Amino acid sequence: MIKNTLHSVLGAQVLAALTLIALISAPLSSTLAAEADSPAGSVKSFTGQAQVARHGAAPAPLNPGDRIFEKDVLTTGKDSSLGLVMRDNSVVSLGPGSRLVVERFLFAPEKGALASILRVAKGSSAMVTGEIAKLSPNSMKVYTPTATIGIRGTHFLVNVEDGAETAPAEAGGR
Amino acid sequence: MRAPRLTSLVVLMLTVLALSACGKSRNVVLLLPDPDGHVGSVVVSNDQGSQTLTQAGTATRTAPKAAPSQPEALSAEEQEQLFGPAMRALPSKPVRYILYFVSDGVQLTQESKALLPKVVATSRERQSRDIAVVGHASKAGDEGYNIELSRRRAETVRKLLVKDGLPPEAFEVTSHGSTNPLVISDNPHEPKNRRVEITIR
Repeated sequence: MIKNTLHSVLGAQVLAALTLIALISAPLSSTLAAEADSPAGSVKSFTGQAQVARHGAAPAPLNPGDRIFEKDVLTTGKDSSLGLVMRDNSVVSLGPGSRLVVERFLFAPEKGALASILRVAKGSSAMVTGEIAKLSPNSMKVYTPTATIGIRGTHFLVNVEDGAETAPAEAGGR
Repeated sequence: MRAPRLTSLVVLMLTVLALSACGKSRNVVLLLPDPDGHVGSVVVSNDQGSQTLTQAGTATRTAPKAAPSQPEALSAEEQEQLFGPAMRALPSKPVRYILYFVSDGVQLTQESKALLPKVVATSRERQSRDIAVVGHASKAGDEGYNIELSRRRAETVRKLLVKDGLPPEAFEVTSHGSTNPLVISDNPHEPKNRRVEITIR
């Protein structure tokens, strides 16, 4: 309880500071600010403990309906999970002890601005791709510590030759 | 009417863990069919190589300084062990409804009006706290006017849904004017483009 109160007090201060900055910079960059502020998605569900670290601030608990943004670092505790619905209607979940970084997320199809770059730094994740992967498969990437996952449109089915370990020259060339 | 545009390409699962007891890497990428049964395709690559997964239920393992492994079928047991909780936490896909309007106004067509209770029921079922309402107009007329008209259409729908008891804070209302037509038509008054799209997440 005390912790919660502390969180909300701190939250209020940060919010006040942000509002002040927004007011000062509004005449110069209102359009940019509006775009930077668009959510990348929202929390649909969670079990146990799920948190977000935003702008380097201390992690705060997540609740259903909370919007999430580019650069957010989402974590789940032991025996916990988190379900997200992104703006392009892709869905993402995290299993226990996981960490997901929303490296980049842009969904403005009318401007051709599409990007979904997610980093699964730890734990497990399930994803069903959405509009970004459909409109522009190359605009979606998932990074892990040991590999990068790219999406191929169903029209671009290519068989990679057997024995990829003998073909290191192709790495990164996509 | 539900728009058929929410289909997806792939379901992918991955874990980032240390080696398992039997020495196999537990950095696993697994491809599953999407909720409609389609199977997409993913490319897993690093500096050492690359593998493409195209078959449902197949997986590749990755490790530092090693190429992704040949695709293999993942046992149900390992699938559950690695991905069970994440799979169960995966939200269902959002649902989209499209409501149509009579020409040059914010009056819903009879059919679309009759659809409102279904929109409300779906939002309640999903306990949605994230509902996007996007207004559109047909090409007829000045674009400034169309943006204003589609904004008023979206706002009208939001008000109706809030009146029916959906939480006001769940809504995000935007207006696209005529820039995002549902159908490309020679008719500037194309009725299918006079619409509001509701995405219930």
